[in-house]
Amino acid sequence: MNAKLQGLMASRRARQIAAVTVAAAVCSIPLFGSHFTAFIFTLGVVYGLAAMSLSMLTGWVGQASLGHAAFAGAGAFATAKLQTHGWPFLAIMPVVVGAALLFSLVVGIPALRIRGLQLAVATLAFGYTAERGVFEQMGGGYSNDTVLHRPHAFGVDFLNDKNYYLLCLAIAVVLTLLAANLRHRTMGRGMMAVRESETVFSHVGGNVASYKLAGFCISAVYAAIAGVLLGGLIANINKDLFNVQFGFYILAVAIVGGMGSLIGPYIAGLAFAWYPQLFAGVTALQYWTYMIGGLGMVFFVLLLPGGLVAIPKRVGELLVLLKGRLAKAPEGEDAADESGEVEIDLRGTILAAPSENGDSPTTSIRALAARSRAEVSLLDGETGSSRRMRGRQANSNGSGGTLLDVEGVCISFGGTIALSDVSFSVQPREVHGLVGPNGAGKSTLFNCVTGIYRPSEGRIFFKGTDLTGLPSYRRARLGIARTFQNINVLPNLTVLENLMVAEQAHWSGNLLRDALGLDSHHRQEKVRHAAEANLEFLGLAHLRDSVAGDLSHGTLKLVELARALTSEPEMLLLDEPAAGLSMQESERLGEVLRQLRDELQLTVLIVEHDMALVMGNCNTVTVLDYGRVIASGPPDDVRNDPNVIAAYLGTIHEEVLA
Amino acid sequence: MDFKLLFQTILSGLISGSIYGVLGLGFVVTYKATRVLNLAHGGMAMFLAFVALSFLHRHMNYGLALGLTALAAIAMGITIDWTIMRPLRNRPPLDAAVASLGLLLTLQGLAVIIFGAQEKVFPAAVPLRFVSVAGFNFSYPQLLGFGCVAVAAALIGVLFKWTRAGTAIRAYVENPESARGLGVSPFYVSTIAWSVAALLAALAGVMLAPLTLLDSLRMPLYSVKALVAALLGGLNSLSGAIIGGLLLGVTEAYFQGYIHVRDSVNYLPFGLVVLAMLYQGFRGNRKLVRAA
Repeated sequence: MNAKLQGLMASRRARQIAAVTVAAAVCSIPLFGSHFTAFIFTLGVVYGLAAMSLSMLTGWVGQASLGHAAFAGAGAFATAKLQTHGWPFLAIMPVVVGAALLFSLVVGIPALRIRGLQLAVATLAFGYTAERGVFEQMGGGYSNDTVLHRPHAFGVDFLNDKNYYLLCLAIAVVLTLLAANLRHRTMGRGMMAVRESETVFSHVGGNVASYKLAGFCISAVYAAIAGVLLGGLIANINKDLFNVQFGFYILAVAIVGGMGSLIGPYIAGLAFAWYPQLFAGVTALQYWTYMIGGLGMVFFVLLLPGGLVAIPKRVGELLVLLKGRLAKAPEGEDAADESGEVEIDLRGTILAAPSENGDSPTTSIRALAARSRAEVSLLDGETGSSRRMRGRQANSNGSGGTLLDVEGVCISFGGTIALSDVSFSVQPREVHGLVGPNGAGKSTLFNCVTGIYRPSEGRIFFKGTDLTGLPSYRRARLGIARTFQNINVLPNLTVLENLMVAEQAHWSGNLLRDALGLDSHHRQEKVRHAAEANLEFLGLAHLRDSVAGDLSHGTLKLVELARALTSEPEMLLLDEPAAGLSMQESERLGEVLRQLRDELQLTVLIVEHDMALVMGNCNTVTVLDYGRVIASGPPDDVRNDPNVIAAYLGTIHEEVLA
Repeated sequence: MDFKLLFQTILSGLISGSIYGVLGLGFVVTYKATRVLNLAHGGMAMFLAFVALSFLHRHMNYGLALGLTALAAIAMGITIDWTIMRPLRNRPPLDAAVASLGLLLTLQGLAVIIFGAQEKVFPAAVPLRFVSVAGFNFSYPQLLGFGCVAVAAALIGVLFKWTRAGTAIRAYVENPESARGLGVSPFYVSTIAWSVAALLAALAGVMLAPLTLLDSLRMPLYSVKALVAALLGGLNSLSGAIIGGLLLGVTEAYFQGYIHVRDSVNYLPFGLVVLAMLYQGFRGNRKLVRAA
């Protein structure tokens, strides 16, 4: 098994080396070719860089921009303008970056206030205005173009096309490496979490708006730099070079290359720069390129959503499928083993080595898997993160008093009163049950505590802090974590990544540090270890690298719990964690609850219909009915309360007695 | 202040605004019924205008040419729906938007390849004559344009409110799952929506083409403004699209007539989009507060 894994690693390393060699070989072609070849390659690199900026925005943050030509144009025109005032090239670059940032903030801030495709429309309008308003005035229309001079620095003559090619290549490589650094660190993970689920991201303490805005700003800066390089390549710039249409065309390059990929856009960019040569002599060439770009876009979106870079993966998937088809179904116990292997194989091909954690031997994964399947002994889950948590907890408990105070909360939807004058408090280190018939307002109350809803009256205090008006992510940072009644995970990320996103609760990322790869390594490892410890604690270690969307409902409930724990909260809100669990699993959950309280010193507020679980494990039970608190106290008192019995029409009575 | 001039300015604004309105209706119909932001709408209008023009060049009678164009529009709508939009039905909304953008580029290229790169003159349906009412001049094309927009808007309204298809669409928009459970086919809904959108594109195309020269770039760019106008109503409201379009038309006319800053009118769409977003954000917040 180990040998096989090592073989896989080796072949991956070999593939990487092969890829780098091929890339280097392709990149050096122009050095031996004509100046025209250099021109085409430069164009390809510039297209690629511009497309990569969109690939990051769409593939990572899940937003689309139709006006990136405007950022490219802004960069180019600003450079040309400042050059006429005698500014040297190097001094202009910071101005270009600053201008791109400014424009992207102006476009992004209003657009990001709301969800959906609004940014696409806003950027489209921005592109229109830039083309028809700004560039037309600056570029002087068709007649007199503006000239953008190539830089003259370090004693190198960049008027030579080959030198200029090398310059563009170097800039593109540096920018791509910075982006790659970002991708597997806090910022990149956060951006992808935003794409997957804004709700989850904000509930682990992530600031959705700032991550979206950051993604958009980086993307705009990259586009502006690409614009400057393109301007330098063409030399004569006018509004038609950076019209709205160009923005569409760049988006086509990005789609064909593969959204989210950093390399794909360059491959597609080269293809897009080169193929018009095939049509030499055709009239209205530009329109042929539009049509081919457009058809390419439709084709790839429909049939190959991952773009060119996804082809090997798709082929690999097909091969695996084919292999599975051909091989006869393996018998008995081995079947499970085999499927496990396929999963690993798939991972090898799908994830381009996001973690270098190949040293963890398969045997231990298997062992963990076996343990979790058979009988999970949760009691040995004394983990690093739990020890840390306990330390923190001890400090916060010094103040004494209640942890969560709900005071007179009212909320209504339309005419329905969901909560009316609800008051209760939760003591530190207790498991507090919140029960009541369906529609009693339990989840609504949770949503008020985590900031999804704002109560029309009343206040909620956490550790004495008034939560009213705080956004969800700020509440998460105060130490409130939750799980959802309907599963809410990041479906296209792995289980480990799902957990690691919870680092947002204590550290929100720093763009520059992440891009430059500073300090992060140690911190990344710490987060990874905390996440892994929590996976192990809940018996999920064997699923570490599974894609969350492929897992079953019950497993995802545990993943959510693990995610909540990874945010190192003081208080956990669990919304029907036992729904869909079997009797045994439910008992196991009770054990987990007690452990959370007794060992991790957590406070748990739990909404649950499983009365055995609630009555058996809670210190206090609060009963809601029609949005009112009808009873609150120790389980024994509550179960004998006539109001409660009436609310449940006797059902609770029987169940509890049983 | 010259009230007569102001009135004429507003009037011409209403004319171009009504075309924005028709274009905007097209965006809204597909967005409302199928959740697809159809960026190709302006391209469809442009292409269908070229189709109408090629019929007219064959010395067809205007009515017949428009009738055939309507058929072509329906064929186009159904083709787009079946080949592109249906397969993308269960994918993220961005995919369909991107595919529609690809369609726009394709249509633009195709238009030039089939009909030529030259700008074309599109003959007006009615001669440029004026009638005078209470001292104000109305031109025939203006009156016809208004009439068309009013009829189209009324028909769409009737379709959505009082026909079985309209009820099905509204049910589907409201709650796709239960509508499906009640026997509304999502394919039926999207076919109707795309056919109607294509018809609206054809109408906008033949209304707009006589006012400017017809080429493959101008109309799609023009429709960007209509999209922005429709955004004022949240892209969800038919009346919002019309009102937004008229508002944009009048504001543009006012800028052109009264504000003598070069190209100032071209800053309008972006200004408008910012306004629309702030307004929507505000409304969204209020809705949340009201819900809470």
